[in-house]
Amino acid sequence: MDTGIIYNIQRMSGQDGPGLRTTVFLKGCPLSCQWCSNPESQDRRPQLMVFPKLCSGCGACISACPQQAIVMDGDHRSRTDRQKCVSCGACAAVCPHKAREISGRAMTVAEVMRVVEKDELFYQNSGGGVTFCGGEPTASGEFLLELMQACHNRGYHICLDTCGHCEQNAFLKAAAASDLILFDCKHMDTAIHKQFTGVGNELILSNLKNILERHYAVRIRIPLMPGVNDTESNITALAEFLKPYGIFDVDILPCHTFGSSKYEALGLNQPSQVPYPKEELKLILQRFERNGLHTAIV
Amino acid sequence: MGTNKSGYNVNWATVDQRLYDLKQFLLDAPQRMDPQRLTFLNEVYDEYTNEEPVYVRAKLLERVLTKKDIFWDGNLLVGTLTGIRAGVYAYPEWNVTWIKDEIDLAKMSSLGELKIPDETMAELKKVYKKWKGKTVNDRAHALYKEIYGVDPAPYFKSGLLYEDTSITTGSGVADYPRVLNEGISGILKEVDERMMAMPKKVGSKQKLAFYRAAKIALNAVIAYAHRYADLCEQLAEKEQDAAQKAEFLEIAEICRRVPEFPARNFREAIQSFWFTHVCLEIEQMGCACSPGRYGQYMYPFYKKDIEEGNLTREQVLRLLKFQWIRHLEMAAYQGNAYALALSGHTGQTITIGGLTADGDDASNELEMLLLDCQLQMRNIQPTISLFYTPKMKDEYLQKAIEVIRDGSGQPQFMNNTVVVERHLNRFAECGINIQDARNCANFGCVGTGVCGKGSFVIFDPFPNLVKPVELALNNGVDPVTNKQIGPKTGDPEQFTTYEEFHNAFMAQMDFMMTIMRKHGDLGNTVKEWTVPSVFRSCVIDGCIESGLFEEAGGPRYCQTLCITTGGIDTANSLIAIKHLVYDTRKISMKELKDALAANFNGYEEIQKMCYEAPKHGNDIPEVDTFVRQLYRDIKKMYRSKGKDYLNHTAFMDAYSLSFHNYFGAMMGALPTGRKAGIALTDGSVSAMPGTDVEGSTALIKSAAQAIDTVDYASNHLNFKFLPSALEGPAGARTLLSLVKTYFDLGGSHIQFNCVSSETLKDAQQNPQNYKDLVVRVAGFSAYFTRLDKGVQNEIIKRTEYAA
Repeated sequence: MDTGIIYNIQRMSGQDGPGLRTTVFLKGCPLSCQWCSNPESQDRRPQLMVFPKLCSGCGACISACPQQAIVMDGDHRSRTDRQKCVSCGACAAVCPHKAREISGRAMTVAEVMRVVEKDELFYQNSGGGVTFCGGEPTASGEFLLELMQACHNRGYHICLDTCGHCEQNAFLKAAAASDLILFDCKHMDTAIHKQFTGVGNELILSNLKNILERHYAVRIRIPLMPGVNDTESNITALAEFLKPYGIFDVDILPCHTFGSSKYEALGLNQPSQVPYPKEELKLILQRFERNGLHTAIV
Repeated sequence: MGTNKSGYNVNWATVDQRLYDLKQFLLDAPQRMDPQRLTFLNEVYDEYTNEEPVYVRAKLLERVLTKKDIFWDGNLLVGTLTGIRAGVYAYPEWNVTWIKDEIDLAKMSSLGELKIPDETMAELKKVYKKWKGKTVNDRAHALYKEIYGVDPAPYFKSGLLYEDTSITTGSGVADYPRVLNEGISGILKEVDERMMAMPKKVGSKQKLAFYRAAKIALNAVIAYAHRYADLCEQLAEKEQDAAQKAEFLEIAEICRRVPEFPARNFREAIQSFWFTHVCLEIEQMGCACSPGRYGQYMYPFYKKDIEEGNLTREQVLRLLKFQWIRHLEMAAYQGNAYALALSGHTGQTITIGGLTADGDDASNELEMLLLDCQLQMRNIQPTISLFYTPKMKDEYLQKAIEVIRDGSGQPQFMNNTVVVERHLNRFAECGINIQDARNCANFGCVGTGVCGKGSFVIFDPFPNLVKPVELALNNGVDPVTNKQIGPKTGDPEQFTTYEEFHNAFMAQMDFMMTIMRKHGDLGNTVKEWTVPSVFRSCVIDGCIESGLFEEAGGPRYCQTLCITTGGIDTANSLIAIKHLVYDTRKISMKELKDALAANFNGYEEIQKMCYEAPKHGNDIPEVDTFVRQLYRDIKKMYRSKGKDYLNHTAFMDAYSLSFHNYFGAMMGALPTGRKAGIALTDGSVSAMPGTDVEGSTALIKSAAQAIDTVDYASNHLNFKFLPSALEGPAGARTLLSLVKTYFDLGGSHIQFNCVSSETLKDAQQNPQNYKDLVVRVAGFSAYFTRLDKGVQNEIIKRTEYAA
């Protein structure tokens, strides 16, 4: 594959694996989690994002739009007709306030590497490297493997941040090329998994089992959603699943709503999840401890 | 000394309350200008009309030290700048114009607004009449006019240069350990011997005067200490409380002993240090009188007292806090331009870390206590600077990160390797050895020098590097004052290539530097002639031996100070012109000039283009190369104007203090997209605010490459971060690996500014200024300004929590 769709390359990431890292965000995901904090990552195609609070109402976008999809609303802010918009990016190019942006662009392996290479001394000094994140990076198939090979050739530490939903052979190839796998466990019950993410968990758990059996370095990550996957029964099931492999530590990503402006920017409905009150989160974490799982909040 | 088994006779029971009261007083009290020095100034100059200036200066210091009011304020370390609490002196010998011209202007000093009581105002008026036309500043300008036939005032009024001759200054790090270990009596002995031995022949007039003056000044410092001994004995007599009485008697005993004789323990050493420091400040209070490697020269005294059980670490920490209060009290006032350019900064920097003379890790336990002291006091002065070496222990670095995380921006980190290399390079012509090169410290805020053996009292006028861009755009006419300031380098609308514009810019730069050399030499002549420092010269190695005070080149390692401002604005301006007018031809030179003249009002499109033109700080190889080449060309051009006043190769400093505010306020709109009157870019390699959109690693790389930090005398990077990015040991490691990488790439200075909740609130209100502010949470990243208000508030709350 010549190119992949990248929606962000974040330099100096400190939370996506050890040390200072560059995180490459690949667009496109087989899941559609209701709580997704990067909703622009789901669709593989480039998309227009509009941030109304940055709009000054100058109108530059209106004249730039070849589809005549933009009008000025009563608050002197531009409004985009999503039916007419083809995400061509003409408006984003002229917006003086960066209120408009196209998320996602096709990049070659060499183009991505040119950015990744820039911080190699930081990786060296901090024990860091490169993290592939999504969307779901394995959804980019061969392109991901080529990127990983290029990083491997440079001696960079490679981290795969995955939801695990990927055809078995392809997944194992990506996993084998990684130094560390950050593996999301969303729910142990396939029906509930399907209800909240759009897919069942059979393939995911079988992939997880495969990499654990092969003793790959895996770090389990749980996006913790109130009332969805924080129940005693789900946590017990997870602990039971992990125990045979000697895994007793998990990372917790507590529900947050930082992505809300992105939903607005994409013209999507807001997710319904509400963050935990501080005290409540503590109680939930105790649930993990009771089941023999140590937690770290990331 | 001392009958108690430990803690000396300090009245420890009241110490914490005293510390609290002293700090509160400083936070609440407006500073006031003390009249006494002005009275003494008038008297002494009337009495000694026929003496060499250096002798008169010594007599003035003697008069101040022996006659100024002294008082007890509860601080265990005695010795204050003036005769009133939180008092400030004026130094009209350098400049008096502000006394008349700025009479109604609010006056800001280090702790806020400065009050001038009526009594002081009356003295100021007398002084004004007497000194008008005779100040260092007036004489330097007059001399320039007399010799070159041109009035230099417009160069300064237009914001091309800063009037370096108008201000007093510290001159770096004095030889404190000599006073601690030999006492003032030891220095006096050397002065006496040299004065006896010197030939009293033709040409030795100034040398003889210096030695006579030195004796007066050194004896005055001893007399000053004895006055506090007398005061404390009187206080003890009246004191009913036995513990307090014992404390007074002990202080009296200490002041009889030091600084005249060598200190024998930490308690004496800290008082001896303070007498030395405060007398240096009294003689000439200005920015950059720094304690230097305090943790090194105080360590033997500390170690002895801890081992012998005379003091506990907690007690040492409290003694340090009293010293911290004393540093905070310091202030100077020399007019509004000074207030704007310095922002009240008094530049008393303590350097920690670095290497021993033998090249080993020098960091020690006392230095960790200094960090603790800073953490608990949260003072703006003294400032702490950590000279990083890869040999440092993790525990030590973690302590430093703990202080940074607290949000005070301290300690700043310096690259010891670069500084040592810099000194070997710079002072090669003075015959420096590796031991002296390693004994390095910050002289003021960012500049460096050799402890106890250097001085940077010699100045060249401080240039505003971006002014030549403005002049080149206007054929030498200053658009702010509408005067022909620079040479006529041609109408830029007629230029067909960028090279033509660049040549015009360099011609304006060349013109500026010619003035700098000429005016600098004359200004330094006037300083040598009229305001030689005496006590300070006695505590800088080289002066007594050579018989030359510091303004005459006595110190072993002399250096010129020439602070350059606006380098990044210059580079960004030139790049924008090249990019917009010549490379992409998006706008014409006329359109750009019209937009600048209109301060971009009605030209928002052009402002956006200017703003979005490639900018320093984004790890763009072409831009980084341009910036580095520009700094190199500027340095070469400066050197091409000849050696400095003391006949050494001239080095430029690259940091901004608050000169970016001072010059920014005087500048019109720039091709960077910056509007008129706005501050220029801070530091010397920081990014223009809001334009480093590629993140921290990109800024670090661009900043490290911008300047040859060995052949420049400094560089200066202010680095912003959210405290949440530093949580836990992992966060500390992240920060250290950033520093290490920056230093690996050649950076020499980095200071961390915690993005405060106030900043975030401002970003909420003014998103256009904060386009680069990134918020990171695991698996998620976004620009702060794009976030929903509720989410922004959530992040603000987190930030407040972390701080």
